[in-house]
Amino acid sequence: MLKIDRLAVGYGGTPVLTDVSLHIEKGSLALVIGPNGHGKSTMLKALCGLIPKTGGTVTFDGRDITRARATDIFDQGIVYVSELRNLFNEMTVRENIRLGAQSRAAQPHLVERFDMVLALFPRLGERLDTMAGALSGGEARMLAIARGIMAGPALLALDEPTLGMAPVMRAEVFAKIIEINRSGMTILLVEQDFTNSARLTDDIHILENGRIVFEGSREAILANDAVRNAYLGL
Amino acid sequence: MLIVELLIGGITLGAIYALLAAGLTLVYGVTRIFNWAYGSTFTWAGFFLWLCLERLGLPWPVAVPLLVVAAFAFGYGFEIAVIRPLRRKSEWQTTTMLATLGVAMVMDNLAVWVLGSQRKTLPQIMQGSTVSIGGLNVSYHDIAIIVVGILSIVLLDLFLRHSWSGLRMRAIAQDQDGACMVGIRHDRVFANVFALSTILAAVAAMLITPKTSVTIEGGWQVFIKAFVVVSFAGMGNVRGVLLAAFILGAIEALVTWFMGSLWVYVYWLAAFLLLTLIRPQGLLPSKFVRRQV
Repeated sequence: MLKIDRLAVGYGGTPVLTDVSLHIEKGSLALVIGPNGHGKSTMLKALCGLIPKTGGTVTFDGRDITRARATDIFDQGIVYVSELRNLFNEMTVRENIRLGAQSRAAQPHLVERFDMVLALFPRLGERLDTMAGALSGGEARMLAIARGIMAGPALLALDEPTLGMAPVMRAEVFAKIIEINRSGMTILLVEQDFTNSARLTDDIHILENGRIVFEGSREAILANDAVRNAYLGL
Repeated sequence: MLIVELLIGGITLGAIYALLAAGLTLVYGVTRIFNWAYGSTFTWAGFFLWLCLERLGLPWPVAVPLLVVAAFAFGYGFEIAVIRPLRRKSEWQTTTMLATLGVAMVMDNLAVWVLGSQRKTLPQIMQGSTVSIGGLNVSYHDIAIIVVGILSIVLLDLFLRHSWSGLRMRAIAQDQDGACMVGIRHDRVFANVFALSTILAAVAAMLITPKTSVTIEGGWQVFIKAFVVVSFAGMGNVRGVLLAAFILGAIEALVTWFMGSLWVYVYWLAAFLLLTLIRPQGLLPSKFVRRQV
């Protein structure tokens, strides 16, 4: 479904990603894990056209989207949920969710998807008329994911959705991610926290210093002393 | 009775300033571009009406829809031709602002070249007609200004709150990256915002120029007043401009009566200074911190 081949990205001449290759199958949940500042968010932003790529190719459902603009990549079905959430703080939760389905393709599905995300995140249903800026950190992350789902993406790119969350809330969000994936949506998840997130999938990729250094299941990673010590500090 | 009469005059002025300030603040709030050509747009809207009514001899009901269509086309085209090419480059906030200043100069000089420097007088909309309200004679024209002015702001507010286009504009105003993440096409929204803002300036020109006249200096005067109203309300705040416009309109009417029109700016700026000391965030500030773009 998604094929990233030797992706390279830099900021002002400084390379951040040098060699990132990923193959993600339709309906799967792929996890990219790595330390802070090693290019995980940059990879997602470049994939979604929010920052320019300096090398490599990206194909999605057989179409080359390497040079496509962010809005065109969105129209192809790749939706990015940022670690910063980027909510519309002076709008209500209802308006934020509604805006997720603002595209012409998504508008006809507004009502059914609205009901779906409220069933998925009942807490948001209690806060529909609250301003997004008044939500707690956990609620705001749920809203960001809900807004992303409203577009009906073929691939949902989640950037550290549990960052800064208490363990209980983190477990709740991970459970929701599993639920979304089981509904048939392909998910590309980026996380720092190996211990908790690696339980979600067997399709794990370790990103370090701008390149993918290991791919495999949680068991394969734990069984590999060199990888555990060098990249995960376990 | 005199005070009531003056307040009605203030509300009339306030309605005009509210329209102009709403257009100015809408563009700044959504695009973060300060449009220096806004006053010249107001002037040209007046000239366009004068050409339609006086030169072509068209009646008001034909001239007004033509004006609205022309305003939409000008605003949309202005964004595509002037703003968009610069917005894709670095330092776009500075370059676009300077470009709008350049366009204002071109528009003003073009007006002098094509139409001459004499003031243009438009025919009255409802000549000499007045209505008596509680012993006060109020002209139908003033009532029309108040009704159309307030109605336009209310419709604008409803549009921004309930339509898809309005939601997209507010989304970009609050978080440009977030808007990109939900697939909003910035180019289209920016062009619509400039078009809408130009229509507001045109409606203001349509309402006030038959009472005054059309001059190039007039455009700059209303531009400065709209800027003070916008600053008074808090930049990017459409609801706040209505309140700010009526307060400043009332101050203008009272000062003009008691002290003369030369003192208006002095009292406006004194009121602005006072507000800045008491409420530096403006009359109706946002509850949440706006993300910088």
